[in-house]
Amino acid sequence: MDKHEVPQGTLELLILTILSREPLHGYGISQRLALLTRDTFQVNPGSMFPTLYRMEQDGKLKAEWRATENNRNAKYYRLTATGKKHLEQEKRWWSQVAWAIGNVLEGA
Amino acid sequence: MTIVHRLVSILRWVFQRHRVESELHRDIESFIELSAADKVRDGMVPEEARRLARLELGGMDQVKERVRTERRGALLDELSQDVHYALRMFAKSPALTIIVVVTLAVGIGANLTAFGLARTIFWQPVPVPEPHRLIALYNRAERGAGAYSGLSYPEYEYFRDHSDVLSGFATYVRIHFLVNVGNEVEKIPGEIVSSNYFSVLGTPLVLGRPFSAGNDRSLGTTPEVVLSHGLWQRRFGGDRNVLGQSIRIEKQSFTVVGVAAPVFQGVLMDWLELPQLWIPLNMYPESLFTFKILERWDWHAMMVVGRLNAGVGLDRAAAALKPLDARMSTDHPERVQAFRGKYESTIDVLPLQRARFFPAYRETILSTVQVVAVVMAILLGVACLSLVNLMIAKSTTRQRELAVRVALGASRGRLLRQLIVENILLSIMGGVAAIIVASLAWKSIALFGRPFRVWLPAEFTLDFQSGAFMVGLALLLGIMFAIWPIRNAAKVDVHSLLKGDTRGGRSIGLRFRSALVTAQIAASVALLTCASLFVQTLQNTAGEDRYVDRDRITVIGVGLPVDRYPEFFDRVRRVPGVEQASLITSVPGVPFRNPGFVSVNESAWLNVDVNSVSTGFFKMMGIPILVGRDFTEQDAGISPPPVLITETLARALFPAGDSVGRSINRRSGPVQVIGIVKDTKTRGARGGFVPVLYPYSLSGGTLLITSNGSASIFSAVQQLLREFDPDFPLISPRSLQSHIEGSLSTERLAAVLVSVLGFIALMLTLIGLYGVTAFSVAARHKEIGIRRAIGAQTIDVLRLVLGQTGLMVAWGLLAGIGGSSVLAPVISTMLYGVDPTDEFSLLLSCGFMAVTAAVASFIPSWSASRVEPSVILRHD
Repeated sequence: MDKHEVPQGTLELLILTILSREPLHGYGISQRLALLTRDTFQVNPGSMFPTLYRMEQDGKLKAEWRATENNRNAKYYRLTATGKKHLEQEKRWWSQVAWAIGNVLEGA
Repeated sequence: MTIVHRLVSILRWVFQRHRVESELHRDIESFIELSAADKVRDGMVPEEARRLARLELGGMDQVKERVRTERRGALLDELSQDVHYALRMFAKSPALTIIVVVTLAVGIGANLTAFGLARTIFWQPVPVPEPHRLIALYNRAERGAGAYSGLSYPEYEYFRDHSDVLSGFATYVRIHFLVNVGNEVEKIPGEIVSSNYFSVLGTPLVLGRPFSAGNDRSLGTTPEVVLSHGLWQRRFGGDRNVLGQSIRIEKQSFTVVGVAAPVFQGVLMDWLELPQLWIPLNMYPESLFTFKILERWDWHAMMVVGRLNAGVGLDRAAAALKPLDARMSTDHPERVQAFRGKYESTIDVLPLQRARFFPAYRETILSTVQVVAVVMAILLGVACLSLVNLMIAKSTTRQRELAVRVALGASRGRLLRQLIVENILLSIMGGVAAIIVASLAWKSIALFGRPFRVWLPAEFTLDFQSGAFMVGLALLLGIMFAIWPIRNAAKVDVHSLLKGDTRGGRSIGLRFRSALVTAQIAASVALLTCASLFVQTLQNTAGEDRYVDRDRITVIGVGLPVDRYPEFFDRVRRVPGVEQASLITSVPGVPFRNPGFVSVNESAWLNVDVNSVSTGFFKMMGIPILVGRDFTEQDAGISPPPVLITETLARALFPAGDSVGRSINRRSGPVQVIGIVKDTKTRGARGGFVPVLYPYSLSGGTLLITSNGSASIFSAVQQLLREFDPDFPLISPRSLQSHIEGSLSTERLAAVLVSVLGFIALMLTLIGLYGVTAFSVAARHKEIGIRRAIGAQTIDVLRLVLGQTGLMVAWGLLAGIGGSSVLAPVISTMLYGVDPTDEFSLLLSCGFMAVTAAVASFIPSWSASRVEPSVILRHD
């Protein structure tokens, strides 16, 4: 479990990215996460929930209860304006980091 | 924006917790359902699908717990949870909680008291602005026992007028006044002060003004009085209209011009009682001072206080003031003449903080406070050892609970915090209780009179310093005691604990706990040894040099006009029931002295104690006259005046012997020795044999009578006093015994305090010993069961268990003897008539410790040895 755990900040970025396409419930997010990170990280749904709730408390996400396709009630999360702005910032930051680290690694 | 969101969610969490929680529950529930539905679609059995979904999630409760801990504002929340939980834990084991709180309270309270004493006596400045700029001047005798004395008024005046380092210089002298308010006469301690006294000090007044600026030498010009806050409250009910009112002090009417702030109680903390009123120096003739105090160069009773110019340090002040001393003697030959050419003293410049009680007593007071602080610290040490012991015991029994919480998803950090919160809560409760303990202790110390010589405030006040000291101590202890359970919790092996195997946990503490108890035994032995030494000291000081039946001798203070004494004395002796009577100046057997000088040839003056006595004194006291004769009533008015001297004085004056009939000199003129009396400890046991001069006089202000002790005799004597001086307040008579005991307040405090603390330490130790023995017996119950099963008798089991305890006690006693020998030099200055390494005391404390320890460890051992082996063996 401690092997390849997604770093906290990264998990937040992943969730923001997933939700930027469409609102999703917790299970849906975890499905996407598993899909996106299958080969690199293992995301335990247990560790996804605290992050989800923290993001909601920070106002990056907003949630509402509605029915799923199979007519079950689920809590759907979607990005707020703050969340979108945050995602943009994070994206820029990460691409800068990736670029910088890539340079360093190539230069070495 | 984010901040607002966070705040809202924290508020929601605080106020709508239930909704937030149920939403979380439903969210996770729906996750499991959706996940299970997927799995069913893939062909899984519904039950199996749900189980797997839960498993993947990592457990519903665990997820909830993680969401809670990572929630914004969770810390606040968890703290309140921790507090709730801690309180529940306390309620579950009230006995343990009470023992811990009481132990903490005693340990911290004792040290809070010691801290308060040190602060009040040594650090607390005079409550006036910029107290660090204040200094005091003392005359210090270059040789002889007299050491320090104040200044004479002319000396004060000279310094005041010639110094360039002082921005103000005031003088004062303390004395009792007969004060008449509303026709009620009361003897009240007060001060006669220079008119600039309040302005030099900057004393805060709650009402009115300081004295009007006046010349101290223009006698009788400013009949003004400033009242203390206490006197104002007590006699005027705090009436603000007191200003301008007249009160009679001695025979003169004074106008009230001001009331001092409650914090101000004069500068000196010893010497008579604390002043309750102040009158200006130019009114001194109204007081009991019948001689010209402003003219006398040899009357060194004025205290002085100076305020240094801003920026002038003590060294510069001393460098500037000391040369004035020599210049004064040149400028004023009368200064030297007043001492008949033998003026041998220098001026000492002290910061006022070091001169708030008689500087000669500093060492004694310091060592008394030190002893109290050391003893209190030892008690705190014993209390700490007890607490650690209790905490280990508690943590051992809690290991299972901690393990369960770990298994349920609580993080170790969370558990650590829980334990710290519990301990801090205990510390807070202990700290609050400690304040109660300290104020009780403070009041109890007051019951002993003045064991530290200075007057202590009646109530213990928790100021910022003491408060910080206490909080610091409490938190330190709280965190310290959290360490043990935390260390143990860190070692918790969840699986084995849940299986019920507690052996691992048990063995951690036993050796360590035994060591703790050994240390406690050592400290208790040291304290008990000290207690025994102090009790012996009290017995020795109280019982030494026992005058004939001190209980039957009654001491009555009288203050009559000088010419009325002969008649009064005559009448007193005729009061029915009065057997013997004598008028004296100093009560014998208490450490107060009336100094004087004698010489054979007017060159080598000897500093002696002077006690003017009437006829009947030596007979009443049972002091034998070795050579010569006692005074008779015909000795009045004879010239040269007859005197009696003690053996010690006779040897000092006439080493060749044969002193009776010889003439010697006092400062006032020649006197004739008519006899030598046996040495007695006139200054109390510790004073030893000092040279004493007994002149004959009928005007000593203290009456001694022996009688059958009936109250009617005393009221008859008081009636008589009234007749001679209607203003005289009635003071209840006290026996000589109670006077002497009253002077032993330090000894009594030491004996009682250390005994009480020793007893508390002993109790804590016994509790610890009992606990450890019970614990070790419980840990070995299987072994005991097997031994019993294969034929061991009760006595064998007892030997097994008690052998271990015995070893522990033996080590403790040994260390205690060592500890006592370390402590002995610290307390040796306070001892009297007993060797600090007194074997009897050591033996007594060791014996007492051993016997009580045997009882405390025997109880659990005995019950363990009686248990049926089958019961023990079936237990597991």
